[in-house]
Order: sequence, then C-alpha cells, then structure tokens
Amino acid sequence: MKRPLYSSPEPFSLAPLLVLLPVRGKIGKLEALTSSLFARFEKVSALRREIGEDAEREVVRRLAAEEAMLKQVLDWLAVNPEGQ
Amino acid sequence: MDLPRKRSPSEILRRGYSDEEIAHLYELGRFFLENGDIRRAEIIITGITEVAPDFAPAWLAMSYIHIQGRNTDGAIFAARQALRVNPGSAEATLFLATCLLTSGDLNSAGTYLGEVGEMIESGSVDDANIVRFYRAQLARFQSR
Repeated sequence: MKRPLYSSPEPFSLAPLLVLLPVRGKIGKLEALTSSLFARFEKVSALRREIGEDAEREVVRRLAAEEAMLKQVLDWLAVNPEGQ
Repeated sequence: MDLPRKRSPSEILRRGYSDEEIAHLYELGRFFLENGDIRRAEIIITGITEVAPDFAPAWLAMSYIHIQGRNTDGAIFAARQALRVNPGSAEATLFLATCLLTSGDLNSAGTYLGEVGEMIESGSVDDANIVRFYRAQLARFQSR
C-alpha cells in the first residue's frame, strides 16, 4: 500500500534495530512502583555503605549499577510523575 | 553486645525483582533509546543486566547501545548473552549476525543468518520487521 507523500517516516526506516527490541512493559506503570523503588534505592545505598571497599569487586560493581539504575528511574519519576 | 552479622556476597546480591518490575524498568530504558538518550538508557539497561541477567530483552538493548557506541565486541557479547537466555530468539540471532558482519566474521554471520532464514521459511517467524531486517542483512552479507 502506498503511503502519503508527506506522512512521517515509519519507525523501521529510522532505526531498524531499535524496532527489533521487544516491548515488554509500560513506563506508565512505574509511578505505582515509586515507593518500592525508593525503598530498594535506600536499601542498596545502605548496603554499599555497609560493605564499603571490603567486598568483592564484582559485588561492589553490581550494587553500584543497581543504585545508579534506581536513582535514574526515581529522578525520571520526579520529573514525569504521570509516567510520561 | 553482638555485632551485626556480616553478609555474604551471595546474600547481598539475592534481592529479587518481580518480572513485572523488570519489564517496566526495561521499558523506561527502551523509551530513552527511542528518544536518543543513550547515556540514560545505558544506566537503566546496565542495572537490569546486573539484577536480572536472564532477562533477554535487556541484553538486546545493551547490544544496541554498544552498536551505537561502535563497540562491536561489547555488542557481540551482549547479543550472545541474549541468545544464551533465549536460544530460539530470531531477534537475538539477527542482532548477533549483524554484529558479526560488522566485525568481519562472515562465516559465523552467515551461519546465524541461515538460522533466521530457516525460521522464516518454516513460518515460525512472521514478524514483518524481522523479515525486512533479515533481508537487509542478507543483502549486506551477499555484497561482501
């Protein structure tokens, strides 16, 4: 089927690999998880302080990645309380 | 007074997220990717691969992030992880074939492209975007 000349380009033609990433959840549902995500963030931050530099490097790296992820989500939720 | 018991590394890391939580977190990472915000997406996706290493879509997203950063080795590693978690995934196989083509490993790329071709021919894969992307990569492979 022909597309109108001035229609916006389809997503595949802009970023074909991105279109292959499956859709699994809804960012609008994150707002309802704010409290539990915040609790997790506090727990992970406390854990990082508790273990300090004594723990295995792998553990420290994982906790840092999780803490950064949770901070990023909470920052985004603070700016986008409605989920978008 | 008893001192607090020191936690073992496995105890520290064993704090599960629900499948639903992981799916919504991943969706935020994908949202950042769609908007071209690779840095924020990488923070989210890296976190997911650490807390849920068996969630294949996050490895695909990680492969995409590495492709954007022109880190072919990282992209191949992430695509292999996606395929490890989900061996029959046409998306993961295509990601891996694409990265291998970029790296110049034509033999391996051809093998994985062949697998996707068989999935399409057998009818087990009929997603139009996958078929289009497969054809594009096949043309790329044949032009080498």
